Amino acid sequence: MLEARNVFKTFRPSLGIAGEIRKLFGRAPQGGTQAVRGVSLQVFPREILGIVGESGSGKSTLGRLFSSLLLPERGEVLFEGKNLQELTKAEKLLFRRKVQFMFQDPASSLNPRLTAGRTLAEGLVIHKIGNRASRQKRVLELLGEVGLDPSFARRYPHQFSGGQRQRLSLARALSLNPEILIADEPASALDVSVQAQIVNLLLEEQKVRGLALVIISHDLALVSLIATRVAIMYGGLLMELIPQDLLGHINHHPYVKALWASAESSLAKEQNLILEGEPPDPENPPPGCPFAPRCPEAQLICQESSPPFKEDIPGHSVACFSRGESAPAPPEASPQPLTLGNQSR
Amino acid sequence: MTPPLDPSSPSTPPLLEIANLSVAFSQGRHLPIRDLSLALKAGEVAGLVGESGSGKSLTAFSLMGLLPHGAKIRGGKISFEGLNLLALDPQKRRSLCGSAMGMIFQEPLSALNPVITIGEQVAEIFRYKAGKTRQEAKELSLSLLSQVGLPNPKAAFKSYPHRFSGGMRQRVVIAMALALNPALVVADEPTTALDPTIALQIINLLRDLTAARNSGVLFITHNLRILEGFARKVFVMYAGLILEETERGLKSPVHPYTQGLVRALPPNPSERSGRALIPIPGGAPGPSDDLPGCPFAPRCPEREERCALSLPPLKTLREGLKVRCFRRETC
Repeated sequence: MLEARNVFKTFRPSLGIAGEIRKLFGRAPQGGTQAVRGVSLQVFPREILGIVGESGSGKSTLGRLFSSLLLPERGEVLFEGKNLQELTKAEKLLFRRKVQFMFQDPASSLNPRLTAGRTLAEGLVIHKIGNRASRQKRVLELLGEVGLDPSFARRYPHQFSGGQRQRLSLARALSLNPEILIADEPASALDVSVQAQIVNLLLEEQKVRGLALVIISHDLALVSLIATRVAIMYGGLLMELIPQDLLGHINHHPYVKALWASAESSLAKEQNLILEGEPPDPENPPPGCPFAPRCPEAQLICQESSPPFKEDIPGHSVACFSRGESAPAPPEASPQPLTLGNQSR
Repeated sequence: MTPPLDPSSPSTPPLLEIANLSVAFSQGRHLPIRDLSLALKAGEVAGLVGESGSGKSLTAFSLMGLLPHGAKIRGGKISFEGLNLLALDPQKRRSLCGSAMGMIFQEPLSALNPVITIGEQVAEIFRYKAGKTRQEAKELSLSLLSQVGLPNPKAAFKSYPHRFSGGMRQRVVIAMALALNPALVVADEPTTALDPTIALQIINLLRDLTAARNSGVLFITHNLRILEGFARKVFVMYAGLILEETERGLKSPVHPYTQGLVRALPPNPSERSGRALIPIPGGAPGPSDDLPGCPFAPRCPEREERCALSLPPLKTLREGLKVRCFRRETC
C-alpha cells in the first residue's frame, strides 16, 4: 500500500553566502545530519506498524518521508505502486487525503487562531467536500467520535488540555477518512493516565475504520503491546522487523534485547543488559553497523561493514552478522538467556 | 529490586522532615501543595511520583529554596538534619545548598551554564563551597568526572556543555550535585529528557554513587517503572496532595488513583498477557477547579457521595502504608 524503497535523507545545514558561491563552482557541500540511511519498509492495509527508536534514530524522519512531508534524497516512496514524486496534481491531492499525519506535539501543530470547528472543517474545504451545512454536521460527528463535547467546536486550542488537544489532532487526521494514519509519538507528551485514553482511542478508530496505522514511538513496551509488526531503528537504519507473534520468542538483535531490558528497568541490572556508550553521531556515523560500538556481541566485521537487512523467517528481518542465516549457530535450539515473552498464550 | 541501603534504625532522627507544608501562588486561593508531610531517614531512598501539575517539582523547589516568583510557603515546616530551613537566614540556607543538599535538575542543558566550561563549573563547587585551591579543585573535579563515567575527563574538563549529549550532560549535573557528598540529593525527573537506554545508565549511576556516599535521595518522577528498581518508599501525589505513602514499592498499590495509574502503564513486556491499556477517564483537575472533596473523586471508579464533599484524611492503614481514601479506611 505504502512502501519506502531504500530511502535516504540527510539534513544539510544552511550554507550561507560563501557556501552557495562554492556550490556554484561545483564544490558540493559535505556533511549534514544523516537521519535516514537506506531504509526499505512497507505498510500493509489494516495493519498496525510500530516504528520504534531512540531520539536521532531516524524514526520521525521515516514517518515524514512516508507521508511526503519530506522528500527522500535517494530512493523512493511508493503509494499504491506509484512514486510519490511523480504524482500528478490530482493524484497528490488524493494521496494527501488518504494518508494523514498526526504530529507529536498537538500544541504546536494546531493553529492557535482557528477554533476546533474551523480546524476540523479546513481539510473538507480544501478537498471541496460537502457544503457548509454538511461540513458543520461532519465536524460535530468527528468531535463526538473522539470523545469531545460538541460545544468544543467553538473553542480555541489553548482552551484544551493536552489530552483533549491530542483528541482534536486525531479528529483532524480522520476528517478526510484516510486509509493510512501515521502518528508520531501520539502519547508521549501526555501523562500516563491520559496516555492510555489516547492509545485506546487510536486503536478503536483503527479497528472501526480499518485503517493502516503507523505508530512512531520510543516506547517499546507500549508499541509491542499494540502493534502487529514492530520495526526497530537505530542510527538511521532498520535493525529488526518483527511480527508480533515472534516478539520475545526469538534471538533478537542485540540492540532490541537492550531496549527490552530498558523497558523492564528492574530486571536490567541483574541481566547485565545495560548498554554502555551512546547512539552514533548522525553527522558522522560509523562505517559498519551503527550499533557495533555499543554491541556486546560485536565482531571485527561489524566495525567494517554494515550487515544487510535480510529476511530470515517469513515476515521477520534483521540486520546483524550474528543473527539470521549468517549466524554461526542456529538460535532456536536452546531457550535464550533473556526470555522476553513467557506468556502462556 | 532491593533498595541499596538498609534504612537506619528507627531511633535516628530523620534526615529530612517536611510537616504540613502548603504552598500558594500569591494571588489565588489555589494551593498547588496542600498539607504535605514527608520524612526521609539518613541514606534512605524515596520516590515522589505524580503527573504534571501534581506539585511534585514544587515540593523539590520548596526544599531547595528555589520556589518560582510568586509562589510562597503558606504554612508548615521543613527541617533538615534538625535545622528549621524556613526559619534559617538566607545566607546559611544557601550554604547548605550544593554542600549538604544537592539537586539534580530535569533538563541538564538549562542546569549548566553554556558559556563556562564543564571543568570550571564542577571545580567552582570545590573552590567556593569547600575552600579548595584551584589546583586541588581541578584534581577533585577530574576524579569526579571519571567517577560519573565521562570517557575522557581531561577533555571534558575543557569542553562547553553544548558539545555533550543529553546523557553526558546529565552525568555532569550529577557530578555537581554529588561533589561534596551531600546528605540529601533531590533528583527532579533526572531521566525524563533522556532516551530509555541512556536513562537506565543514569539511574544506575545515581543509585551506585548515592549508595557509596550514603546520601538520602528524594527521586521525583512521573515514571513509575523507573522507580521500580530504585525506591521502595514511594509517595504518590495528585493535585498537590499525597494520596498514598508506601514502603513496599508500587507492585500492589492501594489507593484507587495509584491502582489506576499502574493499570494505565503498558505492562512489563515479559509479563504481558495480551491485555489492553486501561486508562483513567477524564483529566487531572486544573488550578481553577475548586474541589472541596477528594481531588481524584471526579475520575474515581469507586467514588461515593461523601468523596466530593469532604477531603479524606491520610490514614495509616498498617505499618508503612498510608492512604487518603474513604473507601480504604478498613484494610
